[in-house]
Amino acid sequence: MDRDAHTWDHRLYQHIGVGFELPNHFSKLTRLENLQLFASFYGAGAELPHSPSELLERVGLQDAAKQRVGEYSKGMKMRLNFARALLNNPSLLFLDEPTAGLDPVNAKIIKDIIRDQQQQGKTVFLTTHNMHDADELCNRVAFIVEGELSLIDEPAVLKLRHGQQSVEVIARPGEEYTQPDVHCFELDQLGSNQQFIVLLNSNTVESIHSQEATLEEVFIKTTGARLT
Amino acid sequence: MMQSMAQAARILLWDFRLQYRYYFWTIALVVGAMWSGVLFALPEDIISIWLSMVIFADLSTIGVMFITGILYLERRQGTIYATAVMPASAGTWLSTKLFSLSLLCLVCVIIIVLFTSNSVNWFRLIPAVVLTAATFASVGFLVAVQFDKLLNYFFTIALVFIPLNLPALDYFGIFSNEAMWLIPSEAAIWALAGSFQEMETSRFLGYLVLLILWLAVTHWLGIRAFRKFIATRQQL
Repeated sequence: MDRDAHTWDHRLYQHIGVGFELPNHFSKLTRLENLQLFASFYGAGAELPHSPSELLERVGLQDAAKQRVGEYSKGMKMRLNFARALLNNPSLLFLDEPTAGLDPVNAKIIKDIIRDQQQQGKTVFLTTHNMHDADELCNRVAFIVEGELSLIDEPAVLKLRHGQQSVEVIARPGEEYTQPDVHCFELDQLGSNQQFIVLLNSNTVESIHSQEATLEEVFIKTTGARLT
Repeated sequence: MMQSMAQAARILLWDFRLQYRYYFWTIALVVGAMWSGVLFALPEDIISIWLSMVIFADLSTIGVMFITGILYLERRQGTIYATAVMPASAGTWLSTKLFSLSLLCLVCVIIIVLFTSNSVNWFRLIPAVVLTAATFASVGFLVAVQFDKLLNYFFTIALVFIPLNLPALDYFGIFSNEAMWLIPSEAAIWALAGSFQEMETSRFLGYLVLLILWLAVTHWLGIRAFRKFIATRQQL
């Protein structure tokens, strides 16, 4: 694209795809008609890299051909939103809560397509309150509070920076259903920590977790105090 | 240029399809049939006086109400915001809406005229109807786009209709004033009347030119309003 944003007019949208937070479709049209209608803004069907039918199949909406969109569930409408954002094979994708209202299977389909877009070199802006999605999908995460960018970095870096340099070991020395013991060890010199080694060899360890922060914790720590 | 024309043609075809699917055509045809029924029962000398006024009332109401209907429907469904991030200009969006509604109004008027009048100049009536309907739809859009709530809209449009209907006084010879030329409906009423009555061609063409000017102005304002109230979602 390599042009100043001010020099573009409406044709900029040839390169942009937008997935809205809430479903926005013509309720009296079918899903295919909805996509064909919006495809008419870009060019004749043959000019588009993906046909509307192909996109519908990718998001799992190939069935219920004659059903009008007004009769769809929210999840189906959200998938249609997503398919519409890909109509023009955009270089820049803005997706607002793309997995909202989706069951885990369909959320995975959408996330796989987003990853596929990333691998093709597309830029994806994902707006979400779902920190798990952000962690899974984003190369960089930014927190915006009251219109200002308060923090931006790679998710792994953020989690390490805001977490503890330790591991939590859960061990159950007694019978099943008894209360487990929770131990915490510093990561520094962990391999030579005798207490840790003894515990490992005790055959009572049920789980070991590093104590980096989750993105939710980073979010709350960074912005929570300022949110009302 | 050719690409933009082809794009507008494709959007226009979908506009027709949407208007059909959302029963706009059914409503227009029923309204047309009702007017035909009412006028058919009246004596011919009364019809000759009232026909252009009935068409004017029909066009102004349908033009304004249908564009309002489209706008509120698209706002409620959110589709207009999806349209705002498509590679079509606000001008193309508005033009296709005005043109498709004008043709819808034209069909409605043809039904009324076919059943009620033998003395019509179709070459005059068609451009007069299309321009009147497009101008009123454009005025309707300008008002409707500024309001999220229908109640506020209806109050304002009722106020707008008062001056818009004043030229009817001129048509019936009750009151006339040069300032009425500043109201778009003055040219509309006389252009419609010129399709049923004797009128010099130059005078009739003058009314059409005035209507074209009004349409150009309201269309230009409509594009600005689309950018302000739809694309950037500013509030009044």
